[in-house]
Amino acid sequence: MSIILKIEKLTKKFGSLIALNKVSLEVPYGSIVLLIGPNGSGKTTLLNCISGLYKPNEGRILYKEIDITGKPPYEIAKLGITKTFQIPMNFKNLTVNENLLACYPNHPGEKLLNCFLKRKWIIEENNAIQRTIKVLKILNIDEQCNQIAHNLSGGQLKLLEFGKPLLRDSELFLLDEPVAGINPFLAEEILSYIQKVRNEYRKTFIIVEHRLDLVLKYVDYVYALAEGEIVCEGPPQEIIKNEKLYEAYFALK
Amino acid sequence: MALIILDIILDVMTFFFMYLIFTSCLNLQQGMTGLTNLGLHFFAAIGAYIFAHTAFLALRIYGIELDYIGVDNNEAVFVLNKLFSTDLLTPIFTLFLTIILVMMTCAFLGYIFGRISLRLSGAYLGIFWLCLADSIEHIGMQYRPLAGGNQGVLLPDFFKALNDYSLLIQKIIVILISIITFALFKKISESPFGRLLKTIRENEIVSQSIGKNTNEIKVKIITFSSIFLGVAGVLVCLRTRGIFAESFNRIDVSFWPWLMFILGGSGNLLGSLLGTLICVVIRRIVLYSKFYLTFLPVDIIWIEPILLGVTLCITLLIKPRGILPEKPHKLKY
Amino acid sequence: MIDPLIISAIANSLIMGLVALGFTLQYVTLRVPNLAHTTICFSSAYITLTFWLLGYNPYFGVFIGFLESSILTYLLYNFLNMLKARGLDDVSLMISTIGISMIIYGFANIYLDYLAYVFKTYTRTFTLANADFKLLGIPGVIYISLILFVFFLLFFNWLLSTKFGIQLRAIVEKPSLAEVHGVDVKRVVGIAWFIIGGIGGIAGSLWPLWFQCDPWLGPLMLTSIFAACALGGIKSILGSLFGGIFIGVSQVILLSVLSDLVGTWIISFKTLIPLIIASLVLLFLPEGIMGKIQKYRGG
Repeated sequence: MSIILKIEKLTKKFGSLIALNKVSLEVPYGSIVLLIGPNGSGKTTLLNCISGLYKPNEGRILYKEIDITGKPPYEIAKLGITKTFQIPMNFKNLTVNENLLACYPNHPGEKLLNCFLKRKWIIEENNAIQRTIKVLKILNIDEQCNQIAHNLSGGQLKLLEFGKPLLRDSELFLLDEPVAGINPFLAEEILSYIQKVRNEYRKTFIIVEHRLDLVLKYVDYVYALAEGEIVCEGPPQEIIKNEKLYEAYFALK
Repeated sequence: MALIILDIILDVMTFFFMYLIFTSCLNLQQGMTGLTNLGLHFFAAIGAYIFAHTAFLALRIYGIELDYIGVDNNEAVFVLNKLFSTDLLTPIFTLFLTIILVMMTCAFLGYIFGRISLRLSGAYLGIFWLCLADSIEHIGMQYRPLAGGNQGVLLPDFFKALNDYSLLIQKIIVILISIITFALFKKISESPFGRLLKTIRENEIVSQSIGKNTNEIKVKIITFSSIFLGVAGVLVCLRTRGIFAESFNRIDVSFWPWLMFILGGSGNLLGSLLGTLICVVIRRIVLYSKFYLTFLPVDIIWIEPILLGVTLCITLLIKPRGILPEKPHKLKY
Repeated sequence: MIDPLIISAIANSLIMGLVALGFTLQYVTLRVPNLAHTTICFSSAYITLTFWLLGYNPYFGVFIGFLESSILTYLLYNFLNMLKARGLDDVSLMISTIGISMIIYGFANIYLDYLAYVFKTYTRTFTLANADFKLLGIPGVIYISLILFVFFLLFFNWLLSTKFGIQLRAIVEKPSLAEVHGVDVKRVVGIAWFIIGGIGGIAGSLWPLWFQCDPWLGPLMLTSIFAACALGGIKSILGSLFGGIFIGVSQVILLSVLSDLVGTWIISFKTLIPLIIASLVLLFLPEGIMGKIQKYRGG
């Protein structure tokens, strides 16, 4: 398998509004794919359809050749896809470490019958704690480890948001504007870390972003959406020369 | 004098441990998972109604035909008391069977209603349980063959064979079951499963996006706590020596535990324990002071709902998180 | 001579409709189910009783009941605002209304006990149906409740077209936007709650003129009123009105039909009907009938 995700003629309507219109694309294993387009073009809708938050009206989504169209979010997450949110959504009243510990996949302590016997889950819990500390250190928010998530700054919340798929050890990361509202230095750090994870662990990324100045040099392939359709696609060097891209952004027809 | 004080303390303790079960269930449902439930008296009443019938199993065993819920209730109690004065095995077996039956029925009903209530959340969910629980209370009050209607069903003394120690043993049983319940709930709150519940409470969508099947877990929680609520209903009947449908009303079984839960600290099981202790002691003081304030033209018992309301409002105003707020989970590394 | 069943149905449905209307209005303006609403509304029944015990026409209770209920509701609104300012969520606000309803319930009992002590009469359960005047063989309460019902419908229609009404509708749609446009949300909603409480109080004060009252009446009615609102659509004012009427009528008519079928013992299950309706509606039709119609239209 060289293609991890295949989307075939995906259509999503909200009442009479067509958010996605027969969108088709392919994502190869270990690639970093960028989705761009003006607001309302359907980028976040596409990510939400993949992650199961929305049920598409038509079309198919194939992950590792398994049809995941319309499956509930938790099932898709279990299969190895994790999506982050544009505006960081986390567990406000829980500490940063709890936010991440909860992401640890297949924890035996999360079964009702096991939780009464500590010995059944304490080993995995310790593993989870180790991994959490590691991720926190990588993201440089280990000092906020025991802080309530509510007290974190905007940038720190974005980092925490990125920490979740890291901890889950997902195969496919869907990142919705991962560097929006972050200072350029931190943004470069995160983007270079994305590349590092891809290079070392062969993870696949689909990123939605607006900040082309920062992102383009880190991605392999770009899809441009406008009004629910893919208007152009190609490697980053080509796409910035494509006229259709500017037409889409400035609504020139 | 010392015996009277001991009696009072034991009385207060029994009440405390009984209410601890309700408050613990509230803490699990609302405090940890975010499932609002204003109808705790639903499962407690179901447990009581089942007990009304299984309690007289001994009559069947001994082959005696009596309308034990209706007109022959007094006679049935008299007959059973005589039989139980020499036989300890039958009543213990009856109680054991009751508990098993109640646990199974409540688990089953908890699963069904938990499942169908999944589409509701927050205030609506709470009111749904209230409507359900009031329905059951209403049926129990009006339909005599179920649980004696507004006459109630008197129960025999199951530990008559132990003579003077009968009351003591019953109180110890209540305390033991309550302690076991509390210990189990404490284990949940300190486990990764408890953390998972909190994620559902905080943000269900995010919890789903990290792979948690939130619907299944919510049903599990309701099923699990319904078992203990049913057993608590049986314990209440043991203590009052009878099944009285009106004792499973929204004020005594739902609203007071809510106050205990909020006062002590929502999200903190130890807080619920503290809140339960405070409220039970206050209620007992009000009850005992009734004997000293007979000169008033009004019944002092109406101070209770006022006290409930005032404490609730003041707590929400001053310390909405309760006396013992939720402790954040800290890592040492 | 009209069948007392029809009189019961009319009185029940009109009074419940007015109280249900209030509940929904409170919900759409503050997003909190006010579980103390019915306790406050039906507490004015005791005021009617007081006037009758003092030897006056019980209908004086309507005016004082309006005042009592509206003032209590307004105070409750301010209290809820205080809690909201402290950042409490909707469930906690709803729990606080439970607290308020318990306080009023306690005082209602004390008051009734006190009345019994002063007037040396039994006040735990009472009805003033015999004290009502009759016109053409129909009890006065029917005329009064019909007049008031129509009056309030017209009054609301007029009110919603005034500047105040438009501001209120804006607040119901999007409170934050209304605030930005210069609407004093607290004042407008406060006045609305005052009026709502008053109307509910009038409805509640009429109740003893046909039906039986006891201290538990207010809290008991909560689930029935909620059933009415849920049936009609919790966000729809017209819906809750029709829901109240439907529940009020069905309680009486359905019960009479059933009692002919299975026996008179079913009469005691009067309050079970709205409870079952509430449970079913919450499960299978949470948006209510009006909500379903809107969905069907809007698509």
